[in-house]
Amino acid sequence: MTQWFSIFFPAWKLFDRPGDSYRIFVQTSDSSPHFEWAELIRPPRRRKWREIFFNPNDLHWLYFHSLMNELSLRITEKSFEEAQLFFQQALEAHLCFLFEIESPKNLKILLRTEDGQMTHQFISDIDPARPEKWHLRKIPPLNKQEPQ
Amino acid sequence: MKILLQEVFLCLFLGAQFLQTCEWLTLLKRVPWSLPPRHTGVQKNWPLFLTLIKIPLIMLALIFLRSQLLGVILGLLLALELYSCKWVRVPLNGASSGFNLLIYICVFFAKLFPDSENFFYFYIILQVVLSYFIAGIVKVRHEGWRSGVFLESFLQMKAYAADFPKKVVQRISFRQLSWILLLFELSFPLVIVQPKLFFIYLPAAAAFHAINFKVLGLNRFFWIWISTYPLLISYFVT
Repeated sequence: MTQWFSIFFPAWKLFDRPGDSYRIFVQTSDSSPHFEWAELIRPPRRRKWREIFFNPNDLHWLYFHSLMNELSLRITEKSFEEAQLFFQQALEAHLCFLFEIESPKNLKILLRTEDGQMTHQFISDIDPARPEKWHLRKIPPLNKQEPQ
Repeated sequence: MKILLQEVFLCLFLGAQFLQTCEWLTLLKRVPWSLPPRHTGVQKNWPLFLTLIKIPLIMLALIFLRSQLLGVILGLLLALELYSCKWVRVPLNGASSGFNLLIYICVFFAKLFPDSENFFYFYIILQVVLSYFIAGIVKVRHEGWRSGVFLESFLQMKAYAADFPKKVVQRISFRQLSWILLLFELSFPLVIVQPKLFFIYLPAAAAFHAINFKVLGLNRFFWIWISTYPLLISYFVT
């Protein structure tokens, strides 16, 4: 009901304040012997005018960031577990594409807000051998080996 | 003239839908959308199939723009748009997807109840004006916007990978840029009082959305808002 109300009567709080922006770190079993965290960074890019017609790259990135915000919200609110898993798995799938991670086995993902106030960590659920086979797994507690 | 402008609005809106659908198809192609139904309530491959259907429907809507059939086609497109919320789950390009849905609903009802067509079109116009004005009100209340800090923060957010020419900031401060934006948004309703101002405000608004695309990559905002401008002209200028 609230969603319908917000569609018919939009609040128009467009860019009212900067929301949480996340830094993304990943750790894979084969990335280094010390299992160091690597930050995934999207460099700024010059957009071409023709992309005003067709711009799936930015759409994908914005969708990816929306997923991060939603997942963070679900984890913070400790809401319905299945919904949380949906966002986690969707996030992992898109992350692997955007950062060209071919083998997501044993992939650990850590999201941290720019100000360092909030950190979420989880292990990938994607089986690279059978990407169509998604399975549920409990989200583990925070790893102590966090990035600086 | 009014009918012609309403048709231009519909063409632009449907064109925007076509571009958005093509973008979304690219995303579906990139990442397999194969979550089990118990997660999403959506069967495997349905997202791709239902998104593909939208292309011929948009074409049909453009062909039958002046026909009674348009209402039926728009109804189908609206149903597909609503159903897609089930698996997309989060807004695409933020407020643009919500406004997109609102326009769909208004246009569908305008075709369903032709006698009340003006009311539904006027509601779209009202929301366009409010989208600028309320956004301005909400911003001006924050010290961060008045000082220019928030604008700078948005440009540094990783989600946008903003491409902002540094030369601009060397000549004009973020505080000044913020106030240009705030004054533009807050004064937008003046166009209702003085319709001649449309010829200044609409190009300025189009330029504002174009800059938003260039810097932040928000091309959907550009097309959705631009598509409504013929409606504004039809009601206030003609």
